[in-house]
Amino acid sequence: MGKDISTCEQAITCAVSETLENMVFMEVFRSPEEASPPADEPCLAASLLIHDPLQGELDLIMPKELAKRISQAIYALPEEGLTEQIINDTFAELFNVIVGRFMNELLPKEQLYRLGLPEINETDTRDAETPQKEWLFITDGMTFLIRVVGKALLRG
Amino acid sequence: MKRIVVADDSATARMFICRCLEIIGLGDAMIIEAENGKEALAKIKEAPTDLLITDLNMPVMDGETLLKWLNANPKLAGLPTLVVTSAGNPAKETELLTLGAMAVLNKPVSPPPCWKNLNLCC
Repeated sequence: MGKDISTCEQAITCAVSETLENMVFMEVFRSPEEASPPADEPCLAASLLIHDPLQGELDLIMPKELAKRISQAIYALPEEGLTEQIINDTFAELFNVIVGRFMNELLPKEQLYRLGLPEINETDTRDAETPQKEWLFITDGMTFLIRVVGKALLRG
Repeated sequence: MKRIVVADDSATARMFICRCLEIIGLGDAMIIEAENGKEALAKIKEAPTDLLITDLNMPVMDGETLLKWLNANPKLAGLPTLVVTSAGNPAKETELLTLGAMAVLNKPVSPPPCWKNLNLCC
């Protein structure tokens, strides 16, 4: 099981850092295990189902402030030009890219996969009973969380 | 005047595609927005269309299904189409090109790849 988590961990770490570095030139670091998830500040949470060829789900929980900074960086918009919709849409696109890259890392190159659509929530509603693993990352001085849910994905 | 249909479930993505089109000199085109493939198909059938820019992953009807519908209609097959996606892979890209897409662009869309792919057809 340890080896499986490690494959998944490498895929998620690579997907997160490549996405943020390529899209917004933000350097990303893995946060120490003992760091706290972003719970004390307003956050955006999203989940995305993976339908084929593996079944599972990913969650992204990120401080709203970070999502706002990323939106500004991607679209070069002044702060007054940023609406809630732009921030939410950008957050959803960013998550889509992360999940796509995660699947590309996890699967052989020629393998097709099918994803659902990102669902954005105001809070993290995931129950702890499903098999899952969480990783914390830091960028721009803020911590965000990625969670991989489902045995098939964790096995990689 | 060129008629361009832009299909994406994200209003922000549509807005930025429109901005890219303006930047590359297509600001005077008639841009018709659609929230999904089904809506885009209806807009394309309404009047002669010069270009379709469609997201891949959308509710109701995705971009791939939209391409298949276009191919199945002799009047619409061959419509120049750019597919944009935030979750593509080489296998999917090959499949979309086989279905008739001119190119597959990664999100966020920026003007240079739009210009590179559109200066031939627009």
